[in-house]
Amino acid sequence: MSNKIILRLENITKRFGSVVAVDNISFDVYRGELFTLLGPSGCGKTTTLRIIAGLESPDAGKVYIDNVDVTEKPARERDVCLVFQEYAVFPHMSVFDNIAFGLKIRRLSKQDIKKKVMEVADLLELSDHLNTKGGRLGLSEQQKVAIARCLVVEPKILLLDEPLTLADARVRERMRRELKKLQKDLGITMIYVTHDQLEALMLSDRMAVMRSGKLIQLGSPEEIYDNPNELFIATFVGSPTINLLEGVLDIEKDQLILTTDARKYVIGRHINTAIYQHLTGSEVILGFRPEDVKISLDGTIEGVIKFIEVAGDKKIVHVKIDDHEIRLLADLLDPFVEGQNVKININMSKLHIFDKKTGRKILKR
Amino acid sequence: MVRNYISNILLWLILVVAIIWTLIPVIWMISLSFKPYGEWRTPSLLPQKPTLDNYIMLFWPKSASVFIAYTALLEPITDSLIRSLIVSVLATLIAVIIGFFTAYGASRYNSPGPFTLFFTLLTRMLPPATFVTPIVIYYTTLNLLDNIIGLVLLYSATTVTYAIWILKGFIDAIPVEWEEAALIEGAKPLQVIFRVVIPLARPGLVVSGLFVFLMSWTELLFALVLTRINITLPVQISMYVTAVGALWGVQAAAALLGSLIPMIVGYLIQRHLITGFTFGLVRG
Repeated sequence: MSNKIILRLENITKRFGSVVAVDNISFDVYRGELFTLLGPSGCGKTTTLRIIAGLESPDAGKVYIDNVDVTEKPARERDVCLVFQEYAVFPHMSVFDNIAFGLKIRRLSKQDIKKKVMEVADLLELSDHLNTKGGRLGLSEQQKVAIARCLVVEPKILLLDEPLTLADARVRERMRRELKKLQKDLGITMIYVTHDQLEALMLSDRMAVMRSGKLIQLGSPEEIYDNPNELFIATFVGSPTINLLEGVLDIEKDQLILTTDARKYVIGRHINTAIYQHLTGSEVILGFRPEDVKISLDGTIEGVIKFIEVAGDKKIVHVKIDDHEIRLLADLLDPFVEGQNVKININMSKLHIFDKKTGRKILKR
Repeated sequence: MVRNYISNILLWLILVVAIIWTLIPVIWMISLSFKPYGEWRTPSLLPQKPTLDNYIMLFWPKSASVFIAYTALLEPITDSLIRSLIVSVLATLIAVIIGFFTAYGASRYNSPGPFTLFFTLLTRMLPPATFVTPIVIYYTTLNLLDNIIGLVLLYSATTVTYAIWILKGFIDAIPVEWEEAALIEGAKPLQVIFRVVIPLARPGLVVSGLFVFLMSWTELLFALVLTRINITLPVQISMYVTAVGALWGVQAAAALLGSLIPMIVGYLIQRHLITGFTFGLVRG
């Protein structure tokens, strides 16, 4: 195993009764990276994290940390630390005692404990709260204490289980920035579990998307966003959500045609027919992101603007095309009005084609 | 406004009646304990000629000349008081310690299974009198009659059920994440229990301890049957009503003394009772 790899999961499976929470997943995490496990609730991401932490033992598979098989080892011998979703700051201990907990267990001398706690408290700006009882802290202090408690024992991997879900939007943004900065400054390996796709995209060096216990795609945020290999990922990641059109593909002359229940649409003109030839006649779901659709005079599909939402310096234009509604991004100053008849063009290089039955991507770019 | 006023008055009336209803016997007991022999059967709330004779009779029965006819019957109350203290404290410690670990297992690992746990409660649903005969037979065999160790064992065994159920509620309320956080920080399971669970369950330990203590402190039936010379306080109190005559005033003094100890204990631990539920944690 390469020295670059700090954590390896090998064919991990975990069942709770008849439910398969984690289904044969394997991945590596590299030293010093921020790795995210993303997925909807109940997808097995937290269970995976708890298996890494040693709080659950897998029914099958192996966990390696730093080239050592730790599958059978209890949590305390793994050199990892976990920041819980609700922080789990001990309410009966002061902030100092909370941070010092792991050091006291390790029987460090009083001076060493004090020195280390002070260092970490300084780093996380907790020095003013050291005497406050854990139960009296606000949310963001609780989070800091939970992180400080982990950092002070210098774990090989810091695990975080949806640490920002409790915070409100503005605080969350700040905490997210601080977390990322902390991770980069300290060069610590972090594994971060979240169901918030935006958070995952913004934080991760690499991310894994999970669904129903399976790992379905692993890659950089760019790859996941730009080249989702399943319909599920395409719809799960990205906001506003990706547009979908369902139908049968065909090629007429040099045009790509989609036949839906309602009618035929020209998806693209002047296409390289060789690329799409093998897809003719197949039932597909087309996916294209709102930023990859443009309103233009030479557009191929006609529709009516239903309504417009302003989102910062962009606006989200909802165009009704027969029974479908297509969302597209336009500049704030673009002179569109509700009720206007428009034509739209899809950026063919950003078109995702998924198999209707399996949801898998059938045209690799 | 008027309706509010009336309902307030009604509320106060109900409260006053309730308070009088609960406190009158206690006040009567206090008053009786200071009344001389001649006033025991008079209905006056305050003693006409207050006296400490009843208390002297409690501690120095041989020198209480007023009750000369009874002195031969009674021992000083100090012995039974000390015995009761020993029995109650030991029974409390045993029941709370066993109760805590059983409750922990039940709460975290569902360990004795729901039926066993319910079964422990089931045994408490029968009137204690049903156990008297078998216990006497056992204790005769085991040579535990008239032995305070026998009472300690019996009291801790009968109260441990309550300790389990009270403590299980408290432990259930402690999020398991706190224990997991401690495990991850490097603590061994026993360290987790002593550093995290016990401090957090402290109010539960105090409440169940107080409960067990009071039950052991006031238990009369088994103490009456199982002891002859090594009697406990409730038995001693009962003995002031003798075949020769009832020493109501002395009994009241003994009862007052007997309620002082739980009151002191309650006062000392009330801080824990109040702070018990204010962790300040907001979940979800």
